[in-house]
Amino acid sequence: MNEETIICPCEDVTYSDLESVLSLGAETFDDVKRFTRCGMGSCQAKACFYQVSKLISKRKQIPLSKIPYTHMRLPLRMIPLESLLGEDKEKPVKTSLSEGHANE
Amino acid sequence: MKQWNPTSCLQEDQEEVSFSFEGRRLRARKGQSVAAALINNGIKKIAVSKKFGQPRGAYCFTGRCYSCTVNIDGCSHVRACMTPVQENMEVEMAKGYFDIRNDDNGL
Amino acid sequence: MDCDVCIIGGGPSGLAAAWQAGKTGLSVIIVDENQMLGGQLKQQRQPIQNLPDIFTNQQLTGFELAHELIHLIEPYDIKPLTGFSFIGVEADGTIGVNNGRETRKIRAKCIIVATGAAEEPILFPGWTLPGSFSIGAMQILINREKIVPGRTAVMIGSSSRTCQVASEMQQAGIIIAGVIEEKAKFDCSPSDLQHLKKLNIPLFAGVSKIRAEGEEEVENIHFKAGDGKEQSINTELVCIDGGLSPVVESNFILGYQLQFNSDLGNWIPSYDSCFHTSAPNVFVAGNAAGITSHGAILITGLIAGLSAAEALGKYSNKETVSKQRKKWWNELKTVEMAYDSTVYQARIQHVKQFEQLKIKQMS
Repeated sequence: MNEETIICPCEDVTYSDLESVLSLGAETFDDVKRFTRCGMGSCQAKACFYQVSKLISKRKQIPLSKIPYTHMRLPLRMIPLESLLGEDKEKPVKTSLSEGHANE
Repeated sequence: MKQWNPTSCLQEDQEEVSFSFEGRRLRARKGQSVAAALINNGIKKIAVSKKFGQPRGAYCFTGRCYSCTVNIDGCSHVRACMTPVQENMEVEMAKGYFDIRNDDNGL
Repeated sequence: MDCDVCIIGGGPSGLAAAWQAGKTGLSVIIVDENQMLGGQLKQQRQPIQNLPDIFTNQQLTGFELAHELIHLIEPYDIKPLTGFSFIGVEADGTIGVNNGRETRKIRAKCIIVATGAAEEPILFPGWTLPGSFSIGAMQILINREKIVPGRTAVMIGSSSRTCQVASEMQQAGIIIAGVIEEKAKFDCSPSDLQHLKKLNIPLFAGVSKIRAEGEEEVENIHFKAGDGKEQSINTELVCIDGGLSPVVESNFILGYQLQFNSDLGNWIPSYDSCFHTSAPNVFVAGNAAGITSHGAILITGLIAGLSAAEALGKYSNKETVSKQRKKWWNELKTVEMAYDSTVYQARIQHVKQFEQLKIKQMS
Protein backbone atom coordinates (compact mmCIF):
# COMPACT_ATOMS: atom_id res chain seq x y z
CA MET A 1 0.00 0.00 0.00
CA ASN A 2 1.40 3.38 -0.94
CA GLU A 3 0.00 6.81 -1.70
CA GLU A 4 -0.83 5.93 -5.29
CA THR A 5 -2.54 2.61 -4.61
CA ILE A 6 -5.99 2.68 -6.15
CA ILE A 7 -8.67 2.00 -3.54
CA CYS A 8 -11.62 2.68 -5.84
CA PRO A 9 -10.86 1.53 -9.39
CA CYS A 10 -14.08 2.96 -10.86
CA GLU A 11 -13.34 6.52 -9.79
CA ASP A 12 -9.53 6.39 -9.52
CA VAL A 13 -9.55 7.26 -5.83
CA THR A 14 -6.13 6.68 -4.27
CA TYR A 15 -4.96 5.80 -0.78
CA SER A 16 -3.59 9.32 -0.44
CA ASP A 17 -7.10 10.69 -1.18
CA LEU A 18 -8.40 8.47 1.60
CA GLU A 19 -5.78 9.70 4.06
CA SER A 20 -6.66 13.32 3.25
CA VAL A 21 -10.35 12.90 3.94
CA LEU A 22 -9.76 10.83 7.06
CA SER A 23 -7.71 13.71 8.43
CA LEU A 24 -10.65 16.01 7.60
CA GLY A 25 -12.85 13.89 9.87
CA ALA A 26 -14.31 11.19 7.64
CA GLU A 27 -15.16 8.14 9.75
CA THR A 28 -17.46 5.97 7.70
CA PHE A 29 -17.55 4.61 4.18
CA ASP A 30 -20.35 7.04 3.39
CA ASP A 31 -18.23 9.98 4.60
CA VAL A 32 -15.40 8.91 2.30
CA LYS A 33 -17.87 8.42 -0.53
CA ARG A 34 -19.22 11.95 -0.23
CA PHE A 35 -15.76 13.51 -0.17
CA THR A 36 -14.09 11.46 -2.89
CA ARG A 37 -16.77 9.83 -5.06
CA CYS A 38 -15.44 6.48 -3.90
CA GLY A 39 -18.33 4.10 -4.38
CA MET A 40 -20.20 6.36 -6.77
CA GLY A 41 -18.78 4.87 -9.93
CA SER A 42 -19.87 2.09 -12.23
CA CYS A 43 -19.78 -0.68 -9.67
CA GLN A 44 -21.55 1.40 -7.01
CA ALA A 45 -19.28 0.35 -4.13
CA LYS A 46 -19.49 -3.38 -4.79
CA ALA A 47 -15.73 -3.75 -5.28
CA CYS A 48 -14.42 -1.17 -2.81
CA PHE A 49 -16.78 -1.17 0.18
CA TYR A 50 -14.97 -3.64 2.43
CA GLN A 51 -11.46 -2.63 1.33
CA VAL A 52 -12.08 1.02 2.15
CA SER A 53 -13.98 0.20 5.34
CA LYS A 54 -11.09 -1.96 6.54
CA LEU A 55 -8.65 0.88 5.86
CA ILE A 56 -10.85 3.34 7.77
CA SER A 57 -11.13 0.84 10.61
CA LYS A 58 -7.36 0.45 10.79
CA ARG A 59 -6.45 4.13 10.50
CA LYS A 60 -9.11 5.43 12.85
CA GLN A 61 -9.20 2.50 15.26
CA ILE A 62 -12.93 2.09 14.66
CA PRO A 63 -14.32 -1.46 14.76
CA LEU A 64 -15.40 -2.64 11.33
CA SER A 65 -18.83 -3.35 12.79
CA LYS A 66 -19.24 0.36 13.49
CA ILE A 67 -18.80 1.32 9.86
CA PRO A 68 -22.33 0.94 8.47
CA TYR A 69 -23.00 -0.90 5.25
CA THR A 70 -23.68 1.61 2.54
CA HIS A 71 -27.12 2.03 0.96
CA MET A 72 -27.32 0.28 -2.37
CA ARG A 73 -30.18 1.61 -4.41
CA LEU A 74 -32.11 0.74 -7.55
CA PRO A 75 -30.81 -0.17 -10.06
CA LEU A 76 -28.38 -2.68 -8.55
CA ARG A 77 -26.63 -2.96 -11.89
CA MET A 78 -25.85 -0.34 -14.49
CA ILE A 79 -28.56 -0.61 -17.15
CA PRO A 80 -29.40 1.33 -20.31
CA LEU A 81 -32.30 3.73 -19.80
CA GLU A 82 -33.94 2.29 -22.90
CA SER A 83 -34.21 -1.11 -21.20
CA LEU A 84 -36.59 0.41 -18.66
CA LEU A 85 -39.04 1.54 -21.34
CA GLY A 86 -42.25 -0.35 -21.78
CA GLU A 87 -43.45 -1.69 -25.10
CA ASP A 88 -45.20 1.43 -26.29
CA LYS A 89 -42.43 3.92 -26.90
CA GLU A 90 -44.72 6.76 -27.98
CA LYS A 91 -46.06 7.79 -24.61
CA PRO A 92 -43.68 9.93 -22.57
CA VAL A 93 -42.47 8.86 -19.13
CA LYS A 94 -43.55 5.26 -19.30
CA THR A 95 -41.42 2.55 -17.82
CA SER A 96 -42.11 -1.08 -17.22
CA LEU A 97 -41.56 -0.32 -13.56
CA SER A 98 -44.43 2.18 -13.30
CA GLU A 99 -47.83 1.14 -12.12
CA GLY A 100 -49.97 3.41 -14.28
CA HIS A 101 -49.40 5.93 -17.02
CA ALA A 102 -48.86 9.59 -16.27
CA ASN A 103 -51.63 10.75 -18.60
CA GLU A 104 -54.30 8.18 -17.71
CA MET B 1 -14.37 -40.43 -11.74
CA LYS B 2 -16.00 -38.68 -14.64
CA GLN B 3 -15.27 -35.00 -14.77
CA TRP B 4 -17.44 -33.35 -17.31
CA ASN B 5 -18.61 -29.81 -17.35
CA PRO B 6 -22.14 -29.42 -18.68
CA THR B 7 -21.67 -25.72 -19.12
CA SER B 8 -18.41 -25.56 -20.97
CA CYS B 9 -18.34 -28.78 -22.96
CA LEU B 10 -20.76 -26.91 -25.19
CA GLN B 11 -17.96 -24.49 -25.91
CA GLU B 12 -15.58 -27.14 -27.11
CA ASP B 13 -18.04 -28.38 -29.72
CA GLN B 14 -19.28 -24.91 -30.44
CA GLU B 15 -18.54 -23.19 -33.67
CA GLU B 16 -16.01 -20.45 -34.18
CA VAL B 17 -17.20 -16.89 -34.41
CA SER B 18 -15.51 -13.85 -35.81
CA PHE B 19 -15.73 -10.49 -34.10
CA SER B 20 -13.76 -7.26 -34.07
CA PHE B 21 -11.93 -5.33 -31.38
CA GLU B 22 -10.88 -1.78 -32.24
CA GLY B 23 -11.32 -2.67 -35.89
CA ARG B 24 -9.17 -5.83 -35.67
CA ARG B 25 -10.82 -9.03 -36.81
CA LEU B 26 -10.48 -11.76 -34.16
CA ARG B 27 -11.63 -15.36 -33.69
CA ALA B 28 -13.48 -16.80 -30.73
CA ARG B 29 -15.56 -19.80 -29.75
CA LYS B 30 -19.29 -19.26 -29.49
CA GLY B 31 -20.25 -19.30 -25.82
CA GLN B 32 -17.12 -17.56 -24.56
CA SER B 33 -17.48 -14.20 -22.91
CA VAL B 34 -16.11 -11.24 -24.85
CA ALA B 35 -13.49 -10.72 -22.13
CA ALA B 36 -12.25 -14.31 -22.32
CA ALA B 37 -12.26 -14.19 -26.12
CA LEU B 38 -10.10 -11.07 -26.02
CA ILE B 39 -7.69 -12.55 -23.47
CA ASN B 40 -7.42 -15.65 -25.63
CA ASN B 41 -6.35 -13.35 -28.44
CA GLY B 42 -3.66 -11.86 -26.22
CA ILE B 43 -5.63 -8.74 -25.41
CA LYS B 44 -5.88 -7.92 -21.72
CA LYS B 45 -6.03 -4.11 -21.68
CA ILE B 46 -9.56 -3.29 -22.76
CA ALA B 47 -10.32 -0.10 -20.85
CA VAL B 48 -8.72 2.92 -19.27
CA SER B 49 -9.49 4.36 -15.87
CA LYS B 50 -11.75 7.35 -15.57
CA LYS B 51 -9.42 9.97 -14.12
CA PHE B 52 -5.85 8.88 -14.71
CA GLY B 53 -6.31 6.90 -17.91
CA GLN B 54 -4.56 3.86 -16.40
CA PRO B 55 -4.82 0.54 -18.22
CA ARG B 56 -7.67 -1.68 -17.04
CA GLY B 57 -9.01 -5.09 -17.92
CA ALA B 58 -11.24 -7.79 -16.57
CA TYR B 59 -10.67 -8.60 -12.90
CA CYS B 60 -13.53 -10.41 -11.19
CA PHE B 61 -15.28 -12.14 -14.11
CA THR B 62 -18.56 -12.11 -12.17
CA GLY B 63 -19.97 -8.83 -13.40
CA ARG B 64 -19.55 -6.91 -10.17
CA CYS B 65 -16.36 -4.87 -10.49
CA TYR B 66 -17.05 -3.15 -13.84
CA SER B 67 -13.32 -3.06 -14.72
CA CYS B 68 -13.99 -4.74 -18.06
CA THR B 69 -16.54 -2.37 -19.56
CA VAL B 70 -16.33 -1.86 -23.29
CA ASN B 71 -18.51 -0.49 -26.07
CA ILE B 72 -20.28 -3.26 -27.97
CA ASP B 73 -22.23 -2.52 -31.16
CA GLY B 74 -22.64 1.06 -30.09
CA CYS B 75 -23.73 0.38 -26.49
CA SER B 76 -21.48 1.74 -23.78
CA HIS B 77 -20.62 0.33 -20.33
CA VAL B 78 -21.12 -3.27 -21.42
CA ARG B 79 -19.41 -5.79 -19.13
CA ALA B 80 -17.19 -7.86 -21.39
CA CYS B 81 -17.02 -10.68 -18.84
CA MET B 82 -20.79 -11.18 -18.77
CA THR B 83 -21.49 -10.83 -22.49
CA PRO B 84 -21.31 -13.89 -24.74
CA VAL B 85 -19.36 -13.18 -27.90
CA GLN B 86 -21.41 -13.26 -31.11
CA GLU B 87 -20.68 -13.30 -34.82
CA ASN B 88 -19.73 -9.86 -36.14
CA MET B 89 -19.85 -8.15 -32.78
CA GLU B 90 -18.00 -4.84 -32.87
CA VAL B 91 -16.16 -4.26 -29.63
CA GLU B 92 -14.35 -1.05 -28.85
CA MET B 93 -12.64 0.48 -25.88
CA ALA B 94 -14.55 3.23 -24.13
CA LYS B 95 -12.96 6.57 -24.81
CA GLY B 96 -13.24 10.02 -23.47
CA TYR B 97 -14.37 10.02 -19.85
CA PHE B 98 -11.12 11.45 -18.72
CA ASP B 99 -11.37 14.18 -21.27
CA ILE B 100 -14.18 15.58 -19.17
CA ARG B 101 -12.92 15.00 -15.69
CA ASN B 102 -9.74 16.98 -15.40
CA ASP B 103 -8.60 20.19 -13.76
CA ASP B 104 -8.79 22.21 -16.99
CA ASN B 105 -12.52 21.77 -16.89
CA GLY B 106 -12.69 22.70 -13.26
CA LEU B 107 -13.58 19.21 -12.08
CA MET C 1 -44.80 -12.85 -14.39
CA ASP C 2 -46.36 -14.25 -11.25
CA CYS C 3 -44.92 -16.94 -9.05
CA ASP C 4 -45.04 -18.23 -5.52
CA VAL C 5 -41.31 -18.06 -4.86
CA CYS C 6 -38.71 -15.89 -6.57
CA ILE C 7 -35.16 -16.98 -5.91
CA ILE C 8 -32.40 -14.46 -6.53
CA GLY C 9 -29.34 -16.47 -7.51
CA GLY C 10 -29.20 -19.84 -9.26
CA GLY C 11 -26.14 -21.26 -7.54
CA PRO C 12 -26.10 -24.28 -5.22
CA SER C 13 -28.21 -22.73 -2.44
CA GLY C 14 -30.73 -21.23 -4.87
CA LEU C 15 -31.11 -24.51 -6.71
CA ALA C 16 -31.48 -26.50 -3.49
CA ALA C 17 -34.11 -24.04 -2.25
CA ALA C 18 -35.91 -24.15 -5.61
CA TRP C 19 -36.01 -27.94 -5.50
CA GLN C 20 -37.41 -28.02 -1.97
CA ALA C 21 -40.05 -25.39 -2.72
CA GLY C 22 -40.87 -26.72 -6.18
CA LYS C 23 -41.40 -30.25 -4.89
CA THR C 24 -44.43 -29.06 -2.94
CA GLY C 25 -46.06 -27.78 -6.12
CA LEU C 26 -45.16 -24.15 -5.71
CA SER C 27 -44.28 -22.14 -8.80
CA VAL C 28 -40.70 -20.91 -8.66
CA ILE C 29 -38.68 -18.46 -10.73
CA ILE C 30 -34.90 -18.47 -10.36
CA VAL C 31 -33.19 -15.27 -11.49
CA ASP C 32 -29.50 -15.52 -12.32
CA GLU C 33 -27.24 -13.02 -14.06
CA ASN C 34 -25.12 -15.67 -15.71
CA GLN C 35 -25.93 -17.45 -18.93
CA MET C 36 -26.36 -20.76 -17.12
CA LEU C 37 -27.40 -21.96 -13.67
CA GLY C 38 -24.96 -23.46 -11.21
CA GLY C 39 -23.25 -20.45 -9.67
CA GLN C 40 -19.74 -21.13 -8.41
CA LEU C 41 -20.10 -24.84 -9.22
CA LYS C 42 -19.81 -24.19 -12.96
CA GLN C 43 -16.10 -23.61 -12.64
CA GLN C 44 -15.22 -26.07 -9.91
CA ARG C 45 -13.83 -29.46 -10.78
CA GLN C 46 -12.56 -30.56 -7.42
CA PRO C 47 -14.62 -33.22 -5.59
CA ILE C 48 -17.09 -31.56 -3.22
CA GLN C 49 -16.70 -32.80 0.33
CA ASN C 50 -19.42 -33.54 2.87
CA LEU C 51 -22.48 -33.39 0.67
CA PRO C 52 -25.84 -33.70 2.42
CA ASP C 53 -27.42 -37.14 2.64
CA ILE C 54 -29.95 -36.42 -0.11
CA PHE C 55 -27.19 -36.78 -2.68
CA THR C 56 -26.89 -40.54 -2.97
CA ASN C 57 -23.83 -40.27 -5.18
CA GLN C 58 -21.55 -38.66 -2.65
CA GLN C 59 -18.55 -38.25 -4.91
CA LEU C 60 -19.37 -35.29 -7.10
CA THR C 61 -17.20 -32.57 -8.57
CA GLY C 62 -18.50 -29.02 -8.75
CA PHE C 63 -19.52 -29.50 -12.40
CA GLU C 64 -21.32 -32.74 -11.62
CA LEU C 65 -23.13 -31.26 -8.65
CA ALA C 66 -24.34 -28.35 -10.80
CA HIS C 67 -25.63 -30.82 -13.35
CA GLU C 68 -27.27 -32.89 -10.65
CA LEU C 69 -29.07 -29.89 -9.17
CA ILE C 70 -30.23 -28.66 -12.58
CA HIS C 71 -31.55 -32.15 -13.26
CA LEU C 72 -33.32 -32.29 -9.89
CA ILE C 73 -35.40 -29.19 -10.57
CA GLU C 74 -36.54 -30.25 -14.04
CA PRO C 75 -39.80 -32.04 -13.19
CA TYR C 76 -41.24 -29.10 -11.25
CA ASP C 77 -42.70 -25.69 -12.01
CA ILE C 78 -39.32 -24.05 -11.67
CA LYS C 79 -38.49 -21.51 -14.33
CA PRO C 80 -34.91 -20.27 -14.70
CA LEU C 81 -34.47 -16.71 -15.92
CA THR C 82 -30.81 -16.60 -16.86
CA GLY C 83 -28.92 -13.56 -18.03
CA PHE C 84 -31.17 -11.39 -15.86
CA SER C 85 -30.06 -9.28 -12.88
CA PHE C 86 -32.28 -8.32 -9.98
CA ILE C 87 -32.28 -4.52 -10.07
CA GLY C 88 -34.94 -3.35 -7.66
CA VAL C 89 -38.53 -3.47 -6.47
CA GLU C 90 -41.60 -1.30 -6.95
CA ALA C 91 -43.48 0.18 -4.04
CA ASP C 92 -45.84 -2.81 -3.91
CA GLY C 93 -42.94 -5.27 -3.81
CA THR C 94 -43.00 -6.27 -7.48
CA ILE C 95 -39.51 -7.40 -8.44
CA GLY C 96 -37.72 -5.87 -11.43
CA VAL C 97 -35.12 -7.88 -13.35
CA ASN C 98 -33.11 -6.62 -16.28
CA ASN C 99 -30.85 -8.19 -18.90
CA GLY C 100 -29.50 -5.01 -20.44
CA ARG C 101 -32.18 -5.00 -23.13
CA GLU C 102 -35.47 -5.30 -21.29
CA THR C 103 -36.94 -5.19 -17.82
CA ARG C 104 -39.37 -7.83 -16.60
CA LYS C 105 -41.60 -7.65 -13.57
CA ILE C 106 -42.07 -10.56 -11.21
CA ARG C 107 -44.77 -10.69 -8.56
CA ALA C 108 -43.78 -13.25 -5.93
CA LYS C 109 -45.25 -14.22 -2.59
CA CYS C 110 -41.86 -15.15 -1.17
CA ILE C 111 -38.31 -14.16 -2.05
CA ILE C 112 -35.20 -16.20 -1.29
CA VAL C 113 -31.95 -14.25 -1.44
CA ALA C 114 -29.35 -16.77 -2.61
CA THR C 115 -26.82 -14.34 -4.01
CA GLY C 116 -23.72 -16.12 -2.77
CA ALA C 117 -20.37 -14.52 -2.11
CA ALA C 118 -17.99 -12.14 -3.85
CA GLU C 119 -14.20 -12.07 -3.84
CA GLU C 120 -12.30 -9.39 -2.01
CA PRO C 121 -9.15 -7.97 -3.59
CA ILE C 122 -5.88 -7.28 -1.81
CA LEU C 123 -4.80 -3.70 -2.45
CA PHE C 124 -1.24 -2.94 -3.50
CA PRO C 125 0.31 -0.71 -6.15
CA GLY C 126 -0.51 -2.15 -9.56
CA TRP C 127 -3.31 -4.44 -8.43
CA THR C 128 -5.59 -2.94 -11.10
CA LEU C 129 -3.27 -3.70 -14.02
CA PRO C 130 -4.63 -5.93 -16.78
CA GLY C 131 -3.44 -9.45 -16.01
CA SER C 132 -4.41 -9.12 -12.37
CA PHE C 133 -7.40 -11.35 -11.58
CA SER C 134 -9.27 -12.64 -8.58
CA ILE C 135 -8.81 -16.33 -7.76
CA GLY C 136 -12.41 -16.96 -8.76
CA ALA C 137 -11.83 -15.27 -12.10
CA MET C 138 -8.84 -17.50 -12.76
CA GLN C 139 -10.89 -20.57 -11.96
CA ILE C 140 -13.56 -19.33 -14.38
CA LEU C 141 -10.98 -18.75 -17.10
CA ILE C 142 -9.39 -22.19 -16.77
CA ASN C 143 -12.46 -24.33 -16.13
CA ARG C 144 -15.43 -22.54 -17.65
CA GLU C 145 -14.07 -20.32 -20.41
CA LYS C 146 -11.39 -22.93 -21.05
CA ILE C 147 -8.58 -20.58 -21.98
CA VAL C 148 -5.02 -20.25 -20.79
CA PRO C 149 -4.67 -16.54 -20.01
CA GLY C 150 -0.88 -16.43 -19.67
CA ARG C 151 2.31 -18.43 -19.29
CA THR C 152 3.26 -17.54 -15.73
CA ALA C 153 1.35 -16.54 -12.64
CA VAL C 154 1.95 -15.46 -9.08
CA MET C 155 -0.71 -16.21 -6.47
CA ILE C 156 -1.28 -13.72 -3.69
CA GLY C 157 -2.88 -15.41 -0.73
CA SER C 158 -2.60 -18.98 0.50
CA SER C 159 -6.03 -20.36 1.31
CA SER C 160 -6.90 -23.92 0.32
CA ARG C 161 -8.89 -22.40 -2.56
CA THR C 162 -5.73 -20.71 -3.80
CA CYS C 163 -3.82 -23.97 -3.57
CA GLN C 164 -6.57 -25.78 -5.48
CA VAL C 165 -6.67 -23.17 -8.23
CA ALA C 166 -2.85 -23.00 -8.44
CA SER C 167 -2.79 -26.74 -8.96
CA GLU C 168 -5.44 -26.51 -11.70
CA MET C 169 -3.53 -23.69 -13.37
CA GLN C 170 -0.37 -25.76 -13.30
CA GLN C 171 -2.27 -28.63 -14.92
CA ALA C 172 -3.42 -26.24 -17.63
CA GLY C 173 0.22 -25.47 -18.38
CA ILE C 174 0.66 -22.22 -16.50
CA ILE C 175 3.90 -21.92 -14.54
CA ILE C 176 3.14 -20.87 -10.98
CA ALA C 177 6.16 -18.73 -10.24
CA GLY C 178 5.24 -18.15 -6.61
CA VAL C 179 2.62 -18.19 -3.90
CA ILE C 180 3.05 -15.09 -1.74
CA GLU C 181 1.35 -14.57 1.59
CA GLU C 182 1.39 -11.40 3.68
CA LYS C 183 0.60 -13.21 6.92
CA ALA C 184 3.43 -14.85 8.83
CA LYS C 185 1.97 -18.33 8.20
CA PHE C 186 0.26 -19.85 5.19
CA ASP C 187 -3.54 -20.23 5.44
CA CYS C 188 -3.81 -23.63 3.81
CA SER C 189 -3.43 -27.04 5.41
CA PRO C 190 0.02 -28.68 5.76
CA SER C 191 -0.98 -31.23 3.13
CA ASP C 192 -1.90 -28.45 0.67
CA LEU C 193 1.49 -26.88 1.35
CA GLN C 194 3.24 -30.20 0.75
CA HIS C 195 1.40 -30.51 -2.55
CA LEU C 196 2.59 -27.07 -3.65
CA LYS C 197 6.15 -27.95 -2.68
CA LYS C 198 5.91 -31.15 -4.71
CA LEU C 199 4.89 -29.04 -7.70
CA ASN C 200 8.07 -27.00 -7.14
CA ILE C 201 6.14 -23.82 -6.53
CA PRO C 202 8.20 -21.21 -4.64
CA LEU C 203 6.45 -20.20 -1.43
CA PHE C 204 6.87 -16.92 0.44
CA ALA C 205 5.24 -16.04 3.76
CA GLY C 206 5.53 -12.92 5.87
CA VAL C 207 5.72 -10.84 2.71
CA SER C 208 5.32 -7.06 2.57
CA LYS C 209 5.57 -4.16 0.15
CA ILE C 210 3.96 -6.02 -2.71
CA ARG C 211 3.79 -4.12 -5.97
CA ALA C 212 2.96 -5.17 -9.51
CA GLU C 213 4.43 -3.34 -12.45
CA GLY C 214 4.03 -3.21 -16.20
CA GLU C 215 3.38 -0.81 -19.07
CA GLU C 216 -0.04 -1.89 -20.23
CA GLU C 217 -0.25 -5.24 -18.42
CA VAL C 218 1.35 -7.02 -15.50
CA GLU C 219 5.00 -7.78 -16.29
CA ASN C 220 6.51 -8.43 -12.91
CA ILE C 221 5.81 -8.38 -9.22
CA HIS C 222 8.12 -7.15 -6.46
CA PHE C 223 7.91 -7.73 -2.74
CA LYS C 224 9.91 -7.92 0.45
CA ALA C 225 10.20 -11.53 1.58
CA GLY C 226 9.88 -12.68 5.18
CA ASP C 227 13.67 -12.63 5.59
CA GLY C 228 13.84 -8.99 4.51
CA LYS C 229 15.23 -9.71 1.03
CA GLU C 230 13.74 -7.88 -1.93
CA GLN C 231 12.30 -10.30 -4.46
CA SER C 232 11.18 -9.85 -8.05
CA ILE C 233 9.29 -12.31 -10.17
CA ASN C 234 8.57 -11.91 -13.86
CA THR C 235 4.95 -12.80 -14.41
CA GLU C 236 2.06 -12.18 -16.78
CA LEU C 237 -0.65 -13.00 -14.30
CA VAL C 238 -1.33 -12.06 -10.71
CA CYS C 239 -4.10 -13.97 -8.92
CA ILE C 240 -5.47 -12.32 -5.82
CA ASP C 241 -7.23 -14.14 -3.01
CA GLY C 242 -8.54 -11.66 -0.46
CA GLY C 243 -11.24 -13.97 0.85
CA LEU C 244 -15.01 -14.02 0.32
CA SER C 245 -17.76 -11.63 1.41
CA PRO C 246 -21.48 -12.43 1.42
CA VAL C 247 -23.39 -10.56 -1.31
CA VAL C 248 -26.06 -8.56 0.51
CA GLU C 249 -26.45 -5.62 -1.84
CA SER C 250 -30.23 -6.15 -1.98
CA ASN C 251 -30.68 -5.38 1.72
CA PHE C 252 -31.84 -1.79 1.46
CA ILE C 253 -34.12 -2.51 -1.49
CA LEU C 254 -35.73 -5.63 0.01
CA GLY C 255 -35.79 -4.13 3.48
CA TYR C 256 -33.93 -6.80 5.45
CA GLN C 257 -31.74 -5.87 8.36
CA LEU C 258 -28.04 -6.72 8.39
CA GLN C 259 -26.11 -7.92 11.41
CA PHE C 260 -22.32 -7.84 11.64
CA ASN C 261 -20.61 -11.14 12.29
CA SER C 262 -16.90 -11.38 11.54
CA ASP C 263 -16.88 -15.18 11.57
CA LEU C 264 -19.56 -15.38 8.89
CA GLY C 265 -18.16 -12.79 6.50
CA ASN C 266 -19.05 -9.50 8.23
CA TRP C 267 -22.40 -8.00 7.14
CA ILE C 268 -25.04 -10.69 6.66
CA PRO C 269 -28.83 -10.62 6.90
CA SER C 270 -30.33 -11.29 10.33
CA TYR C 271 -32.27 -14.54 10.15
CA ASP C 272 -34.02 -17.05 12.36
CA SER C 273 -33.88 -20.84 12.30
CA CYS C 274 -36.15 -20.80 9.22
CA PHE C 275 -33.62 -18.59 7.44
CA HIS C 276 -36.33 -15.93 7.42
CA THR C 277 -34.89 -12.42 7.45
CA SER C 278 -36.36 -9.37 9.17
CA ALA C 279 -38.30 -8.53 6.00
CA PRO C 280 -41.64 -10.32 5.69
CA ASN C 281 -41.48 -13.33 3.38
CA VAL C 282 -37.83 -12.72 2.51
CA PHE C 283 -35.55 -15.67 3.18
CA VAL C 284 -31.81 -16.04 2.75
CA ALA C 285 -29.66 -19.06 1.93
CA GLY C 286 -26.13 -20.08 1.01
CA ASN C 287 -23.00 -17.97 1.28
CA ALA C 288 -25.17 -14.83 1.53
CA ALA C 289 -26.17 -16.16 4.95
CA GLY C 290 -22.56 -16.68 5.99
CA ILE C 291 -19.46 -17.97 4.20
CA THR C 292 -19.35 -21.71 4.54
CA SER C 293 -18.69 -25.02 2.80
CA HIS C 294 -20.60 -26.46 -0.14
CA GLY C 295 -22.46 -29.02 1.91
CA ALA C 296 -23.63 -26.36 4.34
CA ILE C 297 -24.59 -24.05 1.46
CA LEU C 298 -26.87 -26.75 0.09
CA ILE C 299 -28.49 -27.49 3.46
CA THR C 300 -29.25 -23.81 4.12
CA GLY C 301 -30.96 -23.77 0.72
CA LEU C 302 -33.04 -26.80 1.63
CA ILE C 303 -34.11 -25.21 4.94
CA ALA C 304 -35.00 -21.91 3.25
CA GLY C 305 -36.99 -23.68 0.53
CA LEU C 306 -38.82 -25.77 3.11
CA SER C 307 -39.56 -22.71 5.23
CA ALA C 308 -40.85 -20.72 2.24
CA ALA C 309 -43.17 -23.59 1.33
CA GLU C 310 -44.33 -23.73 4.95
CA ALA C 311 -44.98 -19.98 4.98
CA LEU C 312 -47.13 -20.41 1.87
CA GLY C 313 -49.23 -23.05 3.57
CA LYS C 314 -47.93 -26.08 1.71
CA TYR C 315 -47.65 -28.25 4.81
CA SER C 316 -50.73 -29.09 6.85
CA ASN C 317 -48.70 -30.91 9.48
CA LYS C 318 -46.57 -28.44 11.39
CA GLU C 319 -44.80 -31.20 13.24
CA THR C 320 -43.53 -32.84 10.07
CA VAL C 321 -42.00 -29.57 8.93
CA SER C 322 -40.37 -28.85 12.29
CA LYS C 323 -38.96 -32.35 12.37
CA GLN C 324 -37.49 -32.04 8.88
CA ARG C 325 -36.05 -28.63 9.63
CA LYS C 326 -34.50 -29.92 12.85
CA LYS C 327 -33.05 -32.90 10.98
CA TRP C 328 -31.41 -30.55 8.48
CA TRP C 329 -30.07 -28.30 11.21
CA ASN C 330 -28.44 -31.37 12.74
CA GLU C 331 -26.96 -32.25 9.41
CA LEU C 332 -25.82 -28.63 9.01
CA LYS C 333 -24.12 -28.91 12.37
CA THR C 334 -22.24 -32.06 11.38
CA VAL C 335 -21.20 -30.70 8.02
CA GLU C 336 -20.25 -27.25 9.22
CA MET C 337 -18.38 -28.40 12.33
CA ALA C 338 -16.28 -30.59 10.05
CA TYR C 339 -15.53 -27.56 7.86
CA ASP C 340 -14.96 -24.92 10.56
CA SER C 341 -16.49 -25.12 14.01
CA THR C 342 -16.17 -21.33 14.45
CA VAL C 343 -18.55 -20.79 11.54
CA TYR C 344 -21.20 -23.08 13.01
CA GLN C 345 -20.93 -21.54 16.47
CA ALA C 346 -21.17 -18.06 14.97
CA ARG C 347 -24.25 -19.08 12.99
CA ILE C 348 -26.02 -20.42 16.07
CA GLN C 349 -25.22 -17.18 17.89
CA HIS C 350 -26.45 -15.15 14.93
CA VAL C 351 -29.79 -16.97 14.81
CA LYS C 352 -30.23 -16.88 18.58
CA GLN C 353 -29.53 -13.15 18.67
CA PHE C 354 -32.20 -12.45 16.06
CA GLU C 355 -34.76 -14.79 17.60
CA GLN C 356 -34.29 -13.17 21.00
CA LEU C 357 -34.64 -9.73 19.42
CA LYS C 358 -37.91 -10.78 17.80
CA ILE C 359 -39.24 -12.09 21.12
CA LYS C 360 -38.32 -8.79 22.78
CA GLN C 361 -40.02 -6.81 20.04
CA MET C 362 -43.21 -8.82 20.36
CA SER C 363 -43.49 -8.37 24.13
